Amino acid sequence: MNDEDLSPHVDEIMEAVGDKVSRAEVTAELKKYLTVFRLNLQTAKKTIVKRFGGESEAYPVSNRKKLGAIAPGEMSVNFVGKLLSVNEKEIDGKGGRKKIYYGLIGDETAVLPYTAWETEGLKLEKGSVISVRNAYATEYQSKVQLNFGARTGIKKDDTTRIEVSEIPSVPARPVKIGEIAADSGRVEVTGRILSVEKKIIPGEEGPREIFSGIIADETGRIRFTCWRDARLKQDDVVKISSAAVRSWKGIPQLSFDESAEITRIKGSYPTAKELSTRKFVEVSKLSEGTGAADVTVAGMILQVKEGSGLVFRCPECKRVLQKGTCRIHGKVEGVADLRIKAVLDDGTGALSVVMNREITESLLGMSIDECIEKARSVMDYDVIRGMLDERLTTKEVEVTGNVTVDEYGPMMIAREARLMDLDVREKAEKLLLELEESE
Amino acid sequence: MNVREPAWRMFSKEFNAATLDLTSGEERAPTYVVTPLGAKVNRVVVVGVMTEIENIGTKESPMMRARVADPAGSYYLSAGQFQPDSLTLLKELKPPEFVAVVGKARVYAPDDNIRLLSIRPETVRRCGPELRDFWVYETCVSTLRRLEMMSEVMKMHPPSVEEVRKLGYPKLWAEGAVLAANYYKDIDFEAYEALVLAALREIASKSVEEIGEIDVEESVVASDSDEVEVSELEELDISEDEEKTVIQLIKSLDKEGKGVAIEEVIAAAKKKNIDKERLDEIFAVLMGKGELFEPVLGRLKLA
Repeated sequence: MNDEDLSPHVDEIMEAVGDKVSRAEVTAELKKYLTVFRLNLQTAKKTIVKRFGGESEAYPVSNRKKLGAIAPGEMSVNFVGKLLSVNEKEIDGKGGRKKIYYGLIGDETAVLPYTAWETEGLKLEKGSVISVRNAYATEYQSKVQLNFGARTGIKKDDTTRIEVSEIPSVPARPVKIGEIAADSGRVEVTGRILSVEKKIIPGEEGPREIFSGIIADETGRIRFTCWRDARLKQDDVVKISSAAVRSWKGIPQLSFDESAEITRIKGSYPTAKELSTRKFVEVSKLSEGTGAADVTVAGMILQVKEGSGLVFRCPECKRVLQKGTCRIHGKVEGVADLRIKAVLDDGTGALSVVMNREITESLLGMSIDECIEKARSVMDYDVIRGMLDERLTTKEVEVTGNVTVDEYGPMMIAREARLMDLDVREKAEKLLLELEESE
Repeated sequence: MNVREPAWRMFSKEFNAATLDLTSGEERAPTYVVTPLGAKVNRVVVVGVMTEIENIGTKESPMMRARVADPAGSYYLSAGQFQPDSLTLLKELKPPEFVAVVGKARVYAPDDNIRLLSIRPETVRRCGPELRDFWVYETCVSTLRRLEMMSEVMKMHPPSVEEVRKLGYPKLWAEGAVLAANYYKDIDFEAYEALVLAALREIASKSVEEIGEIDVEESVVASDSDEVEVSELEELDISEDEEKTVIQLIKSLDKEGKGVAIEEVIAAAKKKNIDKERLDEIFAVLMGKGELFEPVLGRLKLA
């Protein structure tokens, strides 16, 4: 890291320690901690602030963000903003009536609503600039909301000047659907609506209509929720000027409302059929990400795991019973179900796949009733797992579903699965011709 | 992270050429061999023809060894008494059979002169020729991608994992590529390209023949099947007629179904104007396809 890269971090340290030390000294110290002692940046900064007698409590633990970059669901955000309005309200909380503040806060990139839930000893003044750490962001009707709770530190900041943006949000970035990640923020998307349906959900002012479905471009597909009736129809090709990317278990989704301009695009665009022809995603890509919606992976089933086959679930909580006993509800009359837990491998990585009863029945070519009958006739419920193992291990399959990622790697809940066509003669021929031409 | 190691698709030539081992010394940490094309291998999946299986141990403490042939060589499988599951799997098989094998790379190097790479099977399944062709195709694609990656890495001074990843290769691939580039000298990329071309020609053979891509006359002399230089394999163009003639020949000689001595076949082939070198090539092709195998050294048997 050179001095230029370090500069913003030196700024932050200077802010926390005040005029006690010179900038040159801080820069030299930071460099030493990073290159000689090989501390990570955060630890190095914290250590220096402490050494020079700065309030390490007041010092942001992670980098400050611009308001426009804050996404819903972030549990600890730090930022500086100008209070544009401060309102007071009494609410009924768990411990009786309490006072909260709410209003708008802004910087150069966005204006966001905030709520301060702990107001004792807190003074907020309209027009003042505050430095906030450990706030959290939620979402209300597809807009980001800032919350100041018990863990949040708020400090008046007289040194920073803020020009609040005229446009109340950052312009959304045009992106390809395949590139959208959980932390993409606001995006502009063009694609074809593959499906859309109306749903009624309970809202604060009674039930309201939302429209959700799937939109796709040539790079991928993503689930969306539209909070108004934009008359979206299946097969429409639309440009959505500004949509928020939300994430559910790391799987990105789009959410947009009145503020989004929706333009219908005329002219040629890949057909729904073309867009539905799935491109396979590599498992290594999934392993390196946080999750993905509606992806298709092709690979070989290397293992049909324990717990596959005929299982019995608790009628209360749907948990799989162990020896007729539910972990929560004790001895219960189990409901039969079929499932497959498999390891699928495409050469770049291994994916755990869970397949439901429907898929299991079709891959096995047996209905659940036939499975139960078979198991009873040999007096062994595990026989179905054996049959699945026999039938599926080392088979090439393609699976489609949502993927989450944890410390054990990526895991897919499959929506569809089928055995692959093994005839490669044509593909081999095509590849051969390409190679020979390029020689 | 307890992420499961991927199962690599690669030809035995690449696997057996790996001379770089990575062992961290930590318990339960995965061990790897790194191939000249930068595959950092812990696990592989192979679909080919199991040509031989024998117990090189004793009845009490068995040590099963098996060979699985792919288009241009063989993988060795091994399992001893401490791998009872693998042993059971192997004992059930009667070569020749198409098999799919998933297993871990093992290095056996008792001294500086001996080095044998093998697979310790986790899973072994019988399968059909379709899966074998599918595997060959996938393995061609995977090998080509590594060749491309290595040609990029060779341009880097010094090679860097980050730079390779930026080109879109998975992390494990990038790590392997940099290790390989720093360790191997004079990697014969052309030999691997030739191997891929030959394998593709084999699985595309019928339709390619129809459009006249194969020129039978141009074939060159190759030596014994296992010692065939990869670069020469490219030229291994055997016509279907030649294959049929040899198959017929062996069929007629092998009256009891116990196999025929190679010398007998050579003598009989000479009468049909097929010389020994050409015959060896035809053997190699038939063995690669799983139609012919060598149950004991020096004897041939039709599948």
